[in-house]
Amino acid sequence: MSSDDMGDEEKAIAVTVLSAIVVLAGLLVYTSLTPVPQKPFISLYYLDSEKKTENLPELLILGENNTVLLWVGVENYMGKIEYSSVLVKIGNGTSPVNPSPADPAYSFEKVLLDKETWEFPLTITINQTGTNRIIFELWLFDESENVFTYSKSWCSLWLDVLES
Amino acid sequence: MTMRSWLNPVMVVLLCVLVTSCQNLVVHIPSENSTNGGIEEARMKFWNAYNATVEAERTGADVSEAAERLNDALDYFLQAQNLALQGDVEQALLLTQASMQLSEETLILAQELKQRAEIAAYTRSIISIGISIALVILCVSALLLGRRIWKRRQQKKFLDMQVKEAPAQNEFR
Repeated sequence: MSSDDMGDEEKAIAVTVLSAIVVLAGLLVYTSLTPVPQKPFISLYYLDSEKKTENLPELLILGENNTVLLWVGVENYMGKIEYSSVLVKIGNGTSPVNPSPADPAYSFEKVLLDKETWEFPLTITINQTGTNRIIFELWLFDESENVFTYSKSWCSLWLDVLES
Repeated sequence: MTMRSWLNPVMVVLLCVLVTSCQNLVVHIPSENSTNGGIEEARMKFWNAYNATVEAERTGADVSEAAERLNDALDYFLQAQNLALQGDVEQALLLTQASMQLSEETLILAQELKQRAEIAAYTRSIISIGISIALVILCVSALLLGRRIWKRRQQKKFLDMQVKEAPAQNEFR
């Protein structure tokens, strides 16, 4: 059957079906190319003095090498600007965490853009023998309440300190 | 004695003038309390600037410049806090002032960014509505034009038809 033999109605149906196929194919390509939106997150981590995880200190000797240099990092993937505060607390082997009730020994604050990474050095000297735990907590500013709230993001480093 | 009686009212008047002129004179001596108050004010201003920046970002503005200024204001303010704790009140006050000024500037910048982003979003929506209407008009015109061309073609085909003699009916029988 040639196109000349096709009736007007048949031609209209053919054009409609073809258009529908083109539109559907377009939608399919669009959905397959559009990345799935990721869940917003913010992470907190620490690294050794060379910004690696290989040489993290575990044992310190009081009076000899009781100072630790670490890099602390925060990655903001919340999809928005975040005013963050990192609290560093020093506890012992039995200290509760998440969050720790101890007073912060150090605190650092910065406004982070979306997808921004913030890394800063931290030097800590431990003067107490036994098991020590350096606790890092991330607090985020809640603009509706004008207070910092705990982000539930934390990490810690265990350190055994011996007397020389 | 006459000298004294003449001097007394003059002295009283002079004293009154001195007291009244000194009434509005405020000598500012930086104290720990004023520093703490300044730091609190700087913190409030910083929060306001930050909240305005968050609002601007929500409307779709690029807030990287505002964030940079916020971090500078935060640095000044944290340094002022440390200096106040160490007892360097004058330097702390200076840094607090610098922090407050930066926060105020950032607040204005964030408000401007928000306004610009709102205008841009409005323009974008107008353009997209315009494009949609133009596309609909284009499609409808194309459809009508196509139909017209199709009809003309059919008419031409009909007019070009040639009359042919039909085969005799009894030939099939």
